[in-house]
Amino acid sequence: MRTSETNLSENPTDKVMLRGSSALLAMGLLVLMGIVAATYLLAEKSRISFDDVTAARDTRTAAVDVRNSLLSAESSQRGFLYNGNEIYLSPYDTAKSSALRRFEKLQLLVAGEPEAAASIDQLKAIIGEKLAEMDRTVALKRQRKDDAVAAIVASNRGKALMDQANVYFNGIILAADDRLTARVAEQRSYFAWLRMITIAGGIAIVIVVGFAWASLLRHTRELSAARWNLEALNSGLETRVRERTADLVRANEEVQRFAYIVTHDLRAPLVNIMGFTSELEAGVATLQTLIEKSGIGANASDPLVANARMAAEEDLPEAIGFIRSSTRKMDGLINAILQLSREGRRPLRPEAIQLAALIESTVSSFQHQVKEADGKIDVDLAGVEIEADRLSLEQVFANLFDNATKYRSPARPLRIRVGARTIAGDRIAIDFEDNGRGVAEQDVERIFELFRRSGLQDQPGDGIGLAHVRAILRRLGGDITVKSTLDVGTTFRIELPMIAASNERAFA
Amino acid sequence: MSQAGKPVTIVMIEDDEGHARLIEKNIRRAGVNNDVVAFTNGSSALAYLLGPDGSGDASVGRHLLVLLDLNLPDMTGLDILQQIKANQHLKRIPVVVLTTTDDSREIQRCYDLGANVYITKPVNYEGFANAIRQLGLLFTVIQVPETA
Repeated sequence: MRTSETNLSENPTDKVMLRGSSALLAMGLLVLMGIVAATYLLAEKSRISFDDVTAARDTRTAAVDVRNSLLSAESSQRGFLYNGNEIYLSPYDTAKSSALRRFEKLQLLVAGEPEAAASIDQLKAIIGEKLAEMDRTVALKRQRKDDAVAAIVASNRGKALMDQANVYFNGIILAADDRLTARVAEQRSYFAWLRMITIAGGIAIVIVVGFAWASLLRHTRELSAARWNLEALNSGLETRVRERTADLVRANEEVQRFAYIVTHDLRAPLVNIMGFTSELEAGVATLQTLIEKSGIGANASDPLVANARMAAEEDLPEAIGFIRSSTRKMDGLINAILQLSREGRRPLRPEAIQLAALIESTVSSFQHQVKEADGKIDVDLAGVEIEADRLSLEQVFANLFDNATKYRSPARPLRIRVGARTIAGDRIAIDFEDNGRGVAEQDVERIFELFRRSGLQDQPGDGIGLAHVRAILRRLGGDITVKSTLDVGTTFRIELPMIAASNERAFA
Repeated sequence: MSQAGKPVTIVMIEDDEGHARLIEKNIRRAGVNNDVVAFTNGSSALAYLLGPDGSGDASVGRHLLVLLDLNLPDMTGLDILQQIKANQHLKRIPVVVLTTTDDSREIQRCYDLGANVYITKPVNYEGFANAIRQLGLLFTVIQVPETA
């Protein structure tokens, strides 16, 4: 079927294209995720490195601070030692306590570095010793023990201690500087990476989006082309349906006209046959009168005379009788065709019909037959209302009641049951059930054919009724089917739309 | 059915010769002895009624009655009916339409066009004969005007 071609799941090129699109999207997603992950990793590394930078800088500052405080204490001590003036000693205590406090801070800062721990302990010892030396000289100077002070100073122990401390300070500062340089280099490389990844990511995004855009465009174009095709197909289909319908209507009109013309043209010669048969009959009657009156050949020995008498009295009337019965039959058939053709041309007038009332009035015209058959009619149609042509339905039910009374079973009293129920598609199914003689299985379709009858031919009829019924119902947009069991009964099922179709079927 | 020395001529337009013969026989049986002029097609009948010049002058002074079949080989009876009723000299001629059609619309159309009587030819011969005989009776009672 053509419509399936427009179905995405069944179109091979669409499948490929869908697969391609999703692969592309997945790739794009992966690239983006990679970029995000790499950026996050680099940022994290950069943060750690930056923390380290801060730590190194703090360590360096702390070391410098300790040294400065120590130097400040030393210069204060030296000034005091030099001239014994207490003014010089005024910053000494502050510098000393500051040196100790700052050393503690330095100690904390380098606590995480094991290689620094040893040197910091040694530094601590040196600083402690230096401070003790300075305290001792300051105390001795205050006691005016200048000699003892001079001895200590002369020992150069204080300078040596300060030099040692400076070595450690320089070591710590250099180490911090190295760390700073290394970290900055690290950061620079992280930034370079980040830039590269960002550029690569941008390019990847442009490529993926470009492909997605292109495939979207192509897909959209294909879709609109498919829709256009579908629309073209649809309108073509409508046109075709219209054409076919018009053809059908035309064909039906032709059949109608044909039936009409045929019946009229068939009737004309029939009039002649009948007419001249009557003339013949009249002629024969005259002949018979003559023979009777004259008594010719009453007991004639001449076979010619006897034969003539025989012809006038028996052969001719017999022939005429057959001609008459045949023409009468033919006339009946022609009338039936004419009736069907007329029924097909009669305009339908749909109206709301209470089925129960309609059947009631139909039944009343069969009262006599029903009574004769000891019959009972059970109509179960309360409240069933449909919209249809009244005359058509009356003809349908009259035919069905006529058949049911004509073909009842002599073995049992006639029972007819009429019921209805709604079925799918706003239609109604009317069941017309009898307990008559039934129809043999092989004749079930035949009973709806024109001029065909079934079963025992003990009732007058032309085989028109059910053909007519079916034609009427089909014209109303319905149909009739039959289920029957021989010698048990027959059920006709009529299906009709609840609402008359706006434009009636073309066929009658 | 002669009226004061003005015998009516019956113009029978019928293509089926059998029908024509049966009609004539039955008219005669009904005791009608008027002249019957038979035509088997429309053209010759019209030529008789309208005359060679087609004006209808030829029928002036005639007493006519037309028996018209609707199914003719060369034209429909309705055409003839129309022309008779449209002609000033012929329009008063009584026209009896005889046809196999008992289609109500066609009957109506015939009366609309001015047909005086419409008779369906029944296949049932007795009915047919009866209808024709009654037609004969009709002829005896209707006044057929002189064509002016």
